[in-house]
Amino acid sequence: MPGRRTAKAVQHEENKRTIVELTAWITVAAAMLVVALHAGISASSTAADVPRVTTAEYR
Amino acid sequence: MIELWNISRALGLVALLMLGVVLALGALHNTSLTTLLGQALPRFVLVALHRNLALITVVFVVLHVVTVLVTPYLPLRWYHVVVPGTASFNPWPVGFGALALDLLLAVVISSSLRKYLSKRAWLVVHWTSYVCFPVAVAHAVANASLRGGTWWTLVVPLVATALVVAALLHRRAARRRPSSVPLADRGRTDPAEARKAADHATGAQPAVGGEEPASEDAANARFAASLRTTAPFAAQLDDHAGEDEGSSAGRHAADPGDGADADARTDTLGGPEAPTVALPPRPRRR
Repeated sequence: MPGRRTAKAVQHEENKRTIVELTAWITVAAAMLVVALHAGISASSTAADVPRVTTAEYR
Repeated sequence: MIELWNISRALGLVALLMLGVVLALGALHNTSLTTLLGQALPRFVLVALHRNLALITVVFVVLHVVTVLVTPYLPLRWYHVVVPGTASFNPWPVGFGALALDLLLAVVISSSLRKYLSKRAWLVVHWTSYVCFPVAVAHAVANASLRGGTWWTLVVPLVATALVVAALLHRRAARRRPSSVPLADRGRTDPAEARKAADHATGAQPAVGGEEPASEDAANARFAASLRTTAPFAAQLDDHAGEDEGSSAGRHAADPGDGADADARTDTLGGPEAPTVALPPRPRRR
């Protein structure tokens, strides 16, 4: 059974690598979403969206 | 500095979305969907993903809180974002955020100290994430200004809520769907299948008719010896053997359709197998 054991060990290592890769990709996607949301909010933001800032101050 | 405020909002929205994903992953645990995904990914991958994404969500939440505290437009102190109801500015939305942060910290800390807690205590604290999420959604919705131009950011809490609701509905449907294997029988071996497997493993021939029971005492041995001489009438004796629960001579104890007490032992010509059903309940942890 050494061949089967080796195959299981390889599969386990591959699964662990999958966890790391999936986590990394989702983190990258989340970071890109932050950038995109920030760009969208900055583009569409008005004085009413900023607390304690008057329209004159915002301009 | 207004950019910092916008960054804080973006971080909070992404944290809410990721919280929804993490909650959905947790709700779908042990359902047919994870079984389906399990054909491509083992279950421990999904569990590890749930844990890793939860920790990354905490990072986004911490960044959201730090940027909110640093932004000069908000008169918030550190205790305003920890103790609900202490902020004089925008009290309800900030209070919702503080409550959601406290619940999130409770879940994270209890999971970090899981090996020191009982399973029940950990589970009770972990289930507060179902309270944390709606409170976080209320924080996001209450903070969004419909008068401003960023009303479209309400799409994010909407999507996150839809994700969690869909996951919970799927979980509920999966619980109600009748399974092919009753809950009480899961993880237990079918006696007939166990008998076949034991015969195959030991090379024993399947016992037919009035075989000699392996766990007989001296009295039963004499009865079994007389039974062997009257093998053609074994079938008739079988009908009467069920009346005496102490005697299983003349019939196979593991035959399907027998009484519940009769199939607790699998007999083969190679000897009795370990009981495959009616296992004692596992001791519960604290």
